[in-house]
Amino acid sequence: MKTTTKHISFLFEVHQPFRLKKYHFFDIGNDNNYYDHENNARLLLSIAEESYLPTVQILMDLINTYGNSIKISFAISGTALDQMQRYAPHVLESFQRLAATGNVEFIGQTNSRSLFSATSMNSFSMEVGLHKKAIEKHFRQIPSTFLNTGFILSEQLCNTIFELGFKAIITTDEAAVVHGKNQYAIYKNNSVKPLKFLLRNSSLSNDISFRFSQKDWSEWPLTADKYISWLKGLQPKEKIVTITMDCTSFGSTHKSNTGIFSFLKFLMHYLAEDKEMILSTPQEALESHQPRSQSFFPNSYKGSKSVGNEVFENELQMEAFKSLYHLENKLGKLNNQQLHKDWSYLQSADHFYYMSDNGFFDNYFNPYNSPYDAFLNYMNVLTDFSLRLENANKAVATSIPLL
Amino acid sequence: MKVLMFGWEYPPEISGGLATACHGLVQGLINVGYDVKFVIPNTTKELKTPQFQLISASHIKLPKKWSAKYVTLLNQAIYQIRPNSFQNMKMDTYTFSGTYQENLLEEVYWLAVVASQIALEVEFDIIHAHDWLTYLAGILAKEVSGKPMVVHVHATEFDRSKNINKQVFQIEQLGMQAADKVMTVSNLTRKTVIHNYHIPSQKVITVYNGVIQKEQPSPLYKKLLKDKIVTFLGRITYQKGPEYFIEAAEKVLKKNKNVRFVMAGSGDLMNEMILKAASKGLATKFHFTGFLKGNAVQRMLKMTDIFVMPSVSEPFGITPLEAIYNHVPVIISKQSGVSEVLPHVLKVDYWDTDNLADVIHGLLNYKILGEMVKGSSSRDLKTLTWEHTAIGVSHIYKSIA
Repeated sequence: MKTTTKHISFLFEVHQPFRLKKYHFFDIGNDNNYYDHENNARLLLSIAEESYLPTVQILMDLINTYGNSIKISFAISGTALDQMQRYAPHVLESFQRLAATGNVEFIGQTNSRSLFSATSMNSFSMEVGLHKKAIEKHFRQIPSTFLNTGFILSEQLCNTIFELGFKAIITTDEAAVVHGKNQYAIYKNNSVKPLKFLLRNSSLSNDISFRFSQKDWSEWPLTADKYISWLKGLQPKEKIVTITMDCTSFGSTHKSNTGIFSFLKFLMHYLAEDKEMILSTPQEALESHQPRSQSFFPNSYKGSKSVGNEVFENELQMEAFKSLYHLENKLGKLNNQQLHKDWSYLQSADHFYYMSDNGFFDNYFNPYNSPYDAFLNYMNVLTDFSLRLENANKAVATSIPLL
Repeated sequence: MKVLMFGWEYPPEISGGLATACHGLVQGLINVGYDVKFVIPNTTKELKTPQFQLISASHIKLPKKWSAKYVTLLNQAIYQIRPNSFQNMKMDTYTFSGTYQENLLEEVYWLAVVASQIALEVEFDIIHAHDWLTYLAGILAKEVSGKPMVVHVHATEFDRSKNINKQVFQIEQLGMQAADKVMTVSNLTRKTVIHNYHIPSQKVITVYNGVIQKEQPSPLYKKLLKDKIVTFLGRITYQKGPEYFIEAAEKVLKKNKNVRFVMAGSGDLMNEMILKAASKGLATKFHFTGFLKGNAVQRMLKMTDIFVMPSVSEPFGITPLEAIYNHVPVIISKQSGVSEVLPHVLKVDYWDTDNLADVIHGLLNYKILGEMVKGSSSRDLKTLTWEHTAIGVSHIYKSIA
């Protein structure tokens, strides 16, 4: 391997939350099925049809043609896997075939894309454990690289993630940019356990995920040639490029008629044939170079006991989140599978995102008409969930024989 | 600039929101430098200040002998009144009731007769007529004086009832056609004017109402009940959707006993609604206050925890603004014009009583929601002043005068 070789990592994120059905307050105490299965199934199938399946097919074809010159990674949430299993097993199978090529690294996450990393290491660890099991079960891999919801990061969190068996974290390049450091390198931080950090290149990532089909963008139309020329234009010391995007960028955000799939095909084709750039999984990229020590923390978010403005933008979100994590103690040692499943599903960050003004405007999978609707519906569900926890606890208490 | 306004209500002669809107607008116009003469059918309190005069049409002396020119004019415009009824009139004034009784149309025509006389006596630059009751008066004043006219649509016949009264519709259309500009209180109403009355869209301009933002002296009222109070405040008519309020109340009360519902106001559906609430067995938790006047409205708002306006069709709707001003979280129907200026209140479809019940329940149980709604909608309110409205109206005046 030449010293000028660049490692390019593409990470495709796949996530679907269990969107809630319209849950009236008079359902509280009467109905413990919270999810809009019909809508979730419809959305999953249509997204799979326009995005997941064609993307996976292109990657399969590329691997068949170029073999080990094609390396990629996927971060698939546990809720997305559960939905595939339930609504669309053929989609899960297609990911499994891709996994069987051995050219895909699966990334660790929280099961539901929870935000608990900001408040509770206990619940966070449970979530990570659930996801790990799911990845192992479906893809026969144990994830070593971690990607946290909202890129939340703190010292304590790094230590926990290390203890959970991960070797590296993918985080944002924000702090590196702010501190004028090389964004195309691997980092470590001496104040935390020996975890390595890969930095998501926000500019190159967003060029694909957000800007690709924006006709008023100065670089439109973005071709594979142009993108390759940007990569080639990097300085010799800029060696590690990590590009992450939601898989729905291919086919949903940018519809197939924008040329996004041809872009993907040609981009991978050029990279597979290039002598100075290697497509790598994150773990391969991490092996390739020594990490640089840094005094700054790799992320601007420091973490705190109360989740505040760093994560949420309004009081509805904070209140709903607070109400959720107050239930953690009630869950305690209850041994009830359905309660644990709901507990995980209700943690998805999406539920809180729907309560923000932004979530309202730029997420077309948002089932609500307003942030208020999102809040009300979630709180009704949470109230029922909390009642179920109380009842389950009472049942446990009364079943202990008095001596 | 001097404005001659015609309206059916003006404080202290109040029967609904129209008087409040006219009063707010006049205050706004005075503050931005206009002189306003406001004609209403009848009042015993003819006010006069340097910039404002309240004129009672019942006090206007009518000529003993009408010139042939006016007879023709009046005959054309208000052919429903026989010429001899005013030509050979024995009395020298016409006494209006100024109410909304059966002889309403007759009074509407007579206001036009009186307006033609006022237009001769009073000095003004522009005519401004509020709602259909005064459109004919506006038309006559315009004919007599040659001055430009705006009609101000606070509501249309389509908002008032399920069955459109043809005569009312015709008068509305006449007024809008004769006007140089038509002002509507919301885009919702603007659409009605353009589509149902076939008025060219460039002639129709939306000017939103404001709310008087002046701290009212806090009434001496102590909350006697620990129950939360959910209030409907307005005329109890088809347009206001009172039955949906009762249906939502029934749903909430099934789950939550610590809440009371109040229907404040009066109207043609009041008895029907009392029966409906009783037949649902809500009587101990559902209260009717009858018509509230002046201070009583403030008092009601001060004791209210949640304000609901489930209007089926509401051109604007000022009371939610007053509720917000009194720090009460507000739920309004999506079918109300005021929702156009309140992006942060809670909105429901008037017919979706499940959802209305849900939102009420949410406000009762999740405290932060009410805090959020109050905070954000108070910010929405800041720009909704009558001065702001008056500036918009002023632009329209200047474009035609």
